[in-house]
Amino acid sequence: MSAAELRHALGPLCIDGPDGLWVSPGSERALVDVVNVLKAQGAQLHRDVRLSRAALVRVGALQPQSGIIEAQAGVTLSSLEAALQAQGQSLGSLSPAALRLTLGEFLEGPYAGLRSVAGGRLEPLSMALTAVMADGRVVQTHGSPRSATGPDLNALFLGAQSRLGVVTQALVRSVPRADHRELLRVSLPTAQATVDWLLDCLAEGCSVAAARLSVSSGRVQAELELSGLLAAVQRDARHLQRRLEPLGGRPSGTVAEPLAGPECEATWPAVTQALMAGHRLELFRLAQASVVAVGEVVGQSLHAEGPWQQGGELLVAFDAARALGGSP
Amino acid sequence: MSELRSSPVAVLPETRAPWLLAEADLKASVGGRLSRVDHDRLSYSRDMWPLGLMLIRQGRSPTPPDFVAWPGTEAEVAALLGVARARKIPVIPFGAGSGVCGGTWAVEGGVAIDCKRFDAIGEVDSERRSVEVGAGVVGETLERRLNAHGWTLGHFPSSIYMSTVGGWLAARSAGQLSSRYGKIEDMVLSVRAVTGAGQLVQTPERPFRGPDLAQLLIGSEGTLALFTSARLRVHRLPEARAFGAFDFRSVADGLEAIRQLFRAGLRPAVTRLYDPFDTALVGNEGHHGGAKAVPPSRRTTLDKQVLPALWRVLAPQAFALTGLLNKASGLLKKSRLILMFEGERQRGVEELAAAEAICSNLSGQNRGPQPGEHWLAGRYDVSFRMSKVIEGGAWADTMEVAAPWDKVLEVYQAVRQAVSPHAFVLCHFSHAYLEGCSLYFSFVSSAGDERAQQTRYETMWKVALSAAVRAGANVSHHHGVGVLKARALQDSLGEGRQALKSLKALFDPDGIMNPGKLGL
Repeated sequence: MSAAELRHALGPLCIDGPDGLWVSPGSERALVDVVNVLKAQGAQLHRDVRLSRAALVRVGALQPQSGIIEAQAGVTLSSLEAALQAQGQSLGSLSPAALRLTLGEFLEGPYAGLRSVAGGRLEPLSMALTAVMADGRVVQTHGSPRSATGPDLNALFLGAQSRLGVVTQALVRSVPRADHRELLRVSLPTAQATVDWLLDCLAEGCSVAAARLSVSSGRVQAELELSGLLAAVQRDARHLQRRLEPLGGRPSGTVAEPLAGPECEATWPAVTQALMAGHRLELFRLAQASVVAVGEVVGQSLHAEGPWQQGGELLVAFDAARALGGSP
Repeated sequence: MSELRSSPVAVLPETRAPWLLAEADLKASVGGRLSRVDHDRLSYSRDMWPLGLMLIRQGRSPTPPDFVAWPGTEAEVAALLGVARARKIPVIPFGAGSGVCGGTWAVEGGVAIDCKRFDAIGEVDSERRSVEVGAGVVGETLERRLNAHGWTLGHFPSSIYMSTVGGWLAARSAGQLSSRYGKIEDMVLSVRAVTGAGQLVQTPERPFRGPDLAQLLIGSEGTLALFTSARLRVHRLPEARAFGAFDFRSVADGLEAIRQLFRAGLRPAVTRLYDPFDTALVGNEGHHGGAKAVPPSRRTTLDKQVLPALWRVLAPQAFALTGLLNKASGLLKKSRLILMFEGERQRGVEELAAAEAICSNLSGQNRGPQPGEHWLAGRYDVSFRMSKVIEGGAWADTMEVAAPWDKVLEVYQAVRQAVSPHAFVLCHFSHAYLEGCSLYFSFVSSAGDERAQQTRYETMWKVALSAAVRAGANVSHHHGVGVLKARALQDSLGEGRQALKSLKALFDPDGIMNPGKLGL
């Protein structure tokens, strides 16, 4: 099957781009049509034709009590954030690189759609998803805060790089818009003390938007950004300061420089190791399980696609024909 | 439900003849730890689903498993599944039998696999703040072990004395302190399981690339795999607790208080709002003398307080007049909220003060710490005995669903209205999140005879789930699906049904894993 044949088969669904064929469906129905053509032609999404979700940018009405909002997968997180801010809400603290992604890229890509919530837990930004499967079915998961209704079918799509189903829209969770920002500058005697301090405070419910860590004069310098509602930020700041002294920490005047570079997902032991090696780090999406880090730290790149570390067998069950591209 | 087979307790069906031929192989696969004696089969024939209690009262048993096995290693599980696959014998993973939806009922017979020999508890990894735990470990055992070293799991289901880690994973369990620590799926770093295809799966911990297989296996209720262990997040033991209780003029005001608490960034470990009748019956308890451990032989709040109180004024037959009872309870308005904060002492004090301000703004009357302390003291009051209610010819059951805040009140009213002709309805609201909460309904009813009772029970469940789902709730927040809600789940899944079937075909190609559950 040549590109010309595929272009002909896709008809008006197809766009000629400088780097090959593209499809830009404006609805689930159109995407289903694309998938059906690909299967009929023995072609693959991503390999033979690329997917743009630029036509899927509708943002629905905010459900004011629950703070949830329906958004199509092509909307960028930064524009969704702007729409939410205008209504007194926010996506919460996401890393700078994540904010540049579309909703679909954030949910399906290496970020797996995860945000940190109070208590340092990770939770998908989406409460429910709509996705087109390789068999042409449109799956819509239920929008509940939590469920005990069998396997979480959202897990088929989060982090799965659209190989098991292409996300077209999501019910997105939001938090009240931050009305206060505070910087907390401290120093601690060791890398381990710094990590213990952060983990303890996350577990207690402190919400840390970002942290800049560096090593100077044998101590770890930490600049924490707290962002949220005034009372909550002040409560968290007092808490962080109370827990500082028992660990040998003290206030510091050191101003940290921002770091530039690719983001990776790293474990806390990796953070400890990096600090012990004297590296500077900038941390986002701080959770007990992992952090998003910029700097010299060993972790999983959040930019490049790569082979899955698990779940390859799911491709057999959900897309035997590899219409959605097969293993990335 | 009415299609479920049962047998007289005194005359259990014989082990199926074709499967008897596999007995020696099954027995060898698990080192000889296999039984087909009637008392074992009867013991594993049911869980705590009230329908099972009704059957027992009738002198009947749900269809028992043909065998009970006690494997002790993953290799034994895989070997057992190999034999079962070859003979197409169903297998039913079994934790401690505390489920209330028939999730371990052997609806097609087969081998019940008791997982309690997977009882290892590893050392806490203090750097990663996690612990590896066998799927057969009973919750209370795990919590005591962790406490001895200054840690807690933070998972406190009311079944903690009679439920296992594997059961929690299988049914997506929630503990009473879930608002702070999360549900079990929030606590899992990785799981180990043997799939129906006999393959050992070990899911990776973050960071990893690809879909999260653990979240596809958790909640599968034994239909895809049998859990053998999990690595779970642990927390330092809390330094202190702070309690608050507030009476609101209505359920709506109480719900708004919880919503505002969570949207304001507060994280009480416990939020329980009782609806007016629940408040009238259990909300006005006296001082309990502070928190103390309560043995698990006590009865639940429903058994111990609600029902005896009703019993004093009403004969069991009066529960047939459910419409009248519900109308009478509708005259009550006051709704009580109990809050408990735990963790660092000063933070608890500050969060409680912030909560008091929110509740006060909504005209909540401060009732002090005692109702919360009293609740904590009785939090494990779990019944191990057949409910007096059922012995008296009535029945009681609970239904827990979840919904976003915009729908919670609508779900509450819709279920009350739909169930009112069939059962007396109480409700409390707990397990709160930024986006919504769980609604925990209690239903009590009776009917003239056993057949009428079962018919009424089935009708009640049908209308209750239909009303809840129509109003925007899901099918279950933490009890799971089992047999009881299988139809409702399938109806609610839409095109997701096929996705679930594809998972089933992948992990259990021979269809032997816990048939009939989740509608699979």
